[in-house]
Amino acid sequence: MDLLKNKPLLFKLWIGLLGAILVLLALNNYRVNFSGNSRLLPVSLGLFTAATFMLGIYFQKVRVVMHGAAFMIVVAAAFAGFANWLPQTIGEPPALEESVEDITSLSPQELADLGEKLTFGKGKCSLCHVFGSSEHGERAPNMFGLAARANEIVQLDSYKNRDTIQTVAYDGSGIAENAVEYMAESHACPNCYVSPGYGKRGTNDRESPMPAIHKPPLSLTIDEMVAIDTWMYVREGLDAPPIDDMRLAYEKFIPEDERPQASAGGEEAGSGGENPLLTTGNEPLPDLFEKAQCTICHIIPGIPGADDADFGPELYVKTSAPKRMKDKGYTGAASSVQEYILESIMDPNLYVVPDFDEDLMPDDFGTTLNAKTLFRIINYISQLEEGKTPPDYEKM
Amino acid sequence: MKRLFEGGMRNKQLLSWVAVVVIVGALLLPLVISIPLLAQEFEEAALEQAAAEEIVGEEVPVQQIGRDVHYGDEGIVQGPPAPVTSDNENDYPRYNFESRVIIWVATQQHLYYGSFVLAVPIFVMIIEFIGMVTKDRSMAKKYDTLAYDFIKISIVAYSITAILGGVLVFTFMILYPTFWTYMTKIFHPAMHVYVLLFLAESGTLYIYYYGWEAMKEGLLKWVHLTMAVFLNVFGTVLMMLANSWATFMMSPAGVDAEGQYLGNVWLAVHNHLWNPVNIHRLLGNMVFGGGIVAAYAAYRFLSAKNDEERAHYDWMGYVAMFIAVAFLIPLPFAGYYLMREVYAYRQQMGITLMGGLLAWLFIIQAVLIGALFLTTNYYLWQGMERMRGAERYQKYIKYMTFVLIVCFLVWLTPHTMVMTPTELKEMGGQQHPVVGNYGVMSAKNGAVNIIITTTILSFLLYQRCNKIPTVSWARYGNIALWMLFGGAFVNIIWLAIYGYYIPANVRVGLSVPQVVSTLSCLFIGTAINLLMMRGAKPTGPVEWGKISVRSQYAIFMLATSFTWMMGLMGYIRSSVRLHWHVNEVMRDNSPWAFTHTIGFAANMISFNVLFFWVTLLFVFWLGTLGTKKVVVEKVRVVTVPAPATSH
Amino acid sequence: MAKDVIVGIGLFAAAIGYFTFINWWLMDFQGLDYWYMFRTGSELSSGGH
Repeated sequence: MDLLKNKPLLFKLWIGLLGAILVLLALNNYRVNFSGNSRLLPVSLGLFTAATFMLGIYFQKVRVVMHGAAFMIVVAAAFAGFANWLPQTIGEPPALEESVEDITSLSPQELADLGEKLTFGKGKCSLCHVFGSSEHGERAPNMFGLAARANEIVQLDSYKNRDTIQTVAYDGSGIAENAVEYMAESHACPNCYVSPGYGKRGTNDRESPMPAIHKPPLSLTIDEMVAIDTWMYVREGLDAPPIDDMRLAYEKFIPEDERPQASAGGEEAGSGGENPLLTTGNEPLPDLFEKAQCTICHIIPGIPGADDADFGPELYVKTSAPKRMKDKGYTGAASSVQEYILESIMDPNLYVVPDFDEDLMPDDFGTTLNAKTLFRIINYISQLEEGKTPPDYEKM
Repeated sequence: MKRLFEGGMRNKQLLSWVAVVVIVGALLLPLVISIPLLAQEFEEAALEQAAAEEIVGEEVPVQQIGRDVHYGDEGIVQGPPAPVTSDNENDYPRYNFESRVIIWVATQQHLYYGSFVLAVPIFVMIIEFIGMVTKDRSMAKKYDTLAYDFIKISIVAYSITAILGGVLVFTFMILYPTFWTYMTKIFHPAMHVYVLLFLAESGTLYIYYYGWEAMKEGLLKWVHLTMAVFLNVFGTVLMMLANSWATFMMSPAGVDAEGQYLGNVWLAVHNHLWNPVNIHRLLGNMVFGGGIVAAYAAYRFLSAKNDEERAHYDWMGYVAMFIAVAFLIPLPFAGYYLMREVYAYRQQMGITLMGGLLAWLFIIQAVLIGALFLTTNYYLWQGMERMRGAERYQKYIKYMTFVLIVCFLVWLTPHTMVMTPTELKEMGGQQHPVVGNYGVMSAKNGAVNIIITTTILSFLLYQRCNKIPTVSWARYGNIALWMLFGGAFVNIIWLAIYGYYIPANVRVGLSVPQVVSTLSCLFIGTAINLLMMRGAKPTGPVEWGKISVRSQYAIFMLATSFTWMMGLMGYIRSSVRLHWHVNEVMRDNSPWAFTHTIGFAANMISFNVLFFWVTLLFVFWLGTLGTKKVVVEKVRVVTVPAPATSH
Repeated sequence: MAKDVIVGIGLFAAAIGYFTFINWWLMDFQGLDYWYMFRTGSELSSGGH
């Protein structure tokens, strides 16, 4: 009863409670925003300041401590706020080199880790696809929520009655019945179903810009694609389907003679190289361009099969190179068309053609293409001139 | 030191300086001798053991020879290779929280308290010494009390440091067992020495503190001071040993490429970055310790009940601030030396720091440095209020503020800005056509040198503001000072502009004459000023305590900034190892091997800073609470023993 | 007053002389040419990074 009559004490009690609530709010905000990429953590410091300062006003005995603390919090919050305003990058450790013989021995998490590495590495998926919940895919669909979405897609009429340039992966393969098969089909036959709005320009979504990833130049094995699919599930906290189911799904859409083997092809496994050579240098030019991965992004005039990509500029380099070398944004040191091409292959970001994206072109071609390949590529491309007939590749 | 606080010293001068030389000698001697000797002993012991094993064993064990990863010497392998960890529960136990962050907090708190308790005895020693050689009795008493006050603060902190050290070791053993085992296998001899030294330091500290009253006269006082010397020798060696573990992780030595220990612990301790870090940390600790004591004084000033207390704590705050700023000036040079050694050790490491992943952290450091200098100037200007006659110089403050702010802005201008591609296109490149020109090293070097020179000018004005020079050449002395500073400003700005007209390899050299221009102002300016003030007519004593409350907040600001900067630079030093536990020897395969964003790091630093200060303010508060109680109890003549004010 | 001005100018000249000397000497000490622009002509550079 005395407590209720003692007004100053009651008032202090209220203030104390309010201060405590502010502190709790601040702590909660700290907890919630601690690990995310949200930059709201300094807000907690603001709340702490308010609480301590307020307590300092009404609790005279601890006034100096409270005000001192409040001031220090302001200073710390200012520094932290400034640091949060600057660009944020996470420095990832380099990947451990490891070769996986048998994916069934891996835990789902390990398999998913392998899949993640392939997605950003060998698979080059991240050139076009995005994976964050809030990102918008410019060139290709966002992969977030794919596992759940795929089940819905296979039920769609537009999926079942498709009208694309290639409606089945191969004769008799049939179409996907569930999410696992949908993913396999999308990888093996991108043209079989095109996500609305993501078709090749001018084809009214009848044709996909994506290459079949089990074929050259990417040549992912079935197990590698299984790892990628596993990652799609695990990264969203879902249980991945059994490995065998996923393998069967891929076998449904990839005929036996098209399945790449881990140790087959141009890759010399066991040599320990992280960057196996993509070409031997002796291929006919169209094959060379394809294996060297140029055709994924560039139109190369005169080369069959290299006439419909649009992620990189069309390669009329004899016309464009002299202009670009004089451009203000050009930071390289080339003095001839040939030097310019070589430089652009080795270090693509020295000059990025306007309207194309920086960091899109991989910068490791210097180690994945041999001298003969580079020589032949440069020799051909340097002769391409706008408005003129391309040279005869069969003689080069 | 003393000269700067009051008049000159006369008696006992020679004796005093001899004593100082002896003290410094005693400080350095064990460092020079003890560690290599110890190492030798351990080496001999190891060899004896190896020999003994050879005799006892039936077969002669095949001795593996390893080559030191840094020194290139060959040695007998005496330890297992660095363990190859993997991401599992045995190597990296999980506690639903990022283990690295827990270690981060534990290390930083231990380091804050440790730096504080290492720094305070150093200036307690200096102040006690000044008190002993001061002729003026009341002044001598004042210094002695001040020294005692300082050590009183650090004694609670010492206990906390020890507890935090225990917590840190425990955290390492729990969260990083494999790594911890590897480190102990190499450093266990040094760790034994560490424990012994710690015990010795504790003993000395307690005798030193509790013996203060009993040993205040004659020869005993000199014995007491000698104890302070030993206290600091122990403390410094402790710090250097702990440093060696941290620098071993950055620049390992004494092991071969597989991380196998080669039997000479001195080589592991004396790794490439050990001494640069030792010097940098010693200076940094002094700045930090000065900052904390100043903050303590500011706190006591603000909660003072009468003018006498206010005067004492104002003075204490000023002395502590002076120590902090005095050690702050050489700190960048020690930093430069450390950075040069980092580049010499691994160029890649230097690039990661200055031009790579961690480069933005140095932008934050630049902001902190700018803020530090602005606040120092502000404190000095506020301090002029203590003195009558300061009105004469008030009019210059607005110009100095303007200069400081302009330079601060140039100093802050980022070289490249964060922009969306569209913005980038509109601006025509990463650098702004106009502002971009100020975001380069040439302009920034000029700006920071002008900031420091202006601070020196503030300090000179502060020194003379309650004095009117009486020397016959006073008029020309003033002109000379004007011309010196004017010339320095012209020269610094000229060099900053000239930097734009010459190629990079010549330009980098310009920073040296720029810094020397600044230092010329410091030394020549202070010298002229001191000469002019000889026999000057005082306009009144320094009225300690007559200073604004804002000035005390400036001290808080400085103390917080020092703490924050220490957290930041420590983070930079540690994270430059990237994904290595021990650089290039033992890889970090934990899930936390990545480098956090700078925002996250800054949040962590702020957390550590505030955690430290909140606990420390609590300690301060406990201190005042205790004194009050004692007074009350004395009045009431209560027989129940009062709770100790401190240990 | 006139004397002050003369002393002032003299001291300023001395200061500039001193600073010019340390500029040259410290550059020379580092093996660099302080007079680069006057000898070789200027080349407007970016001012560093």
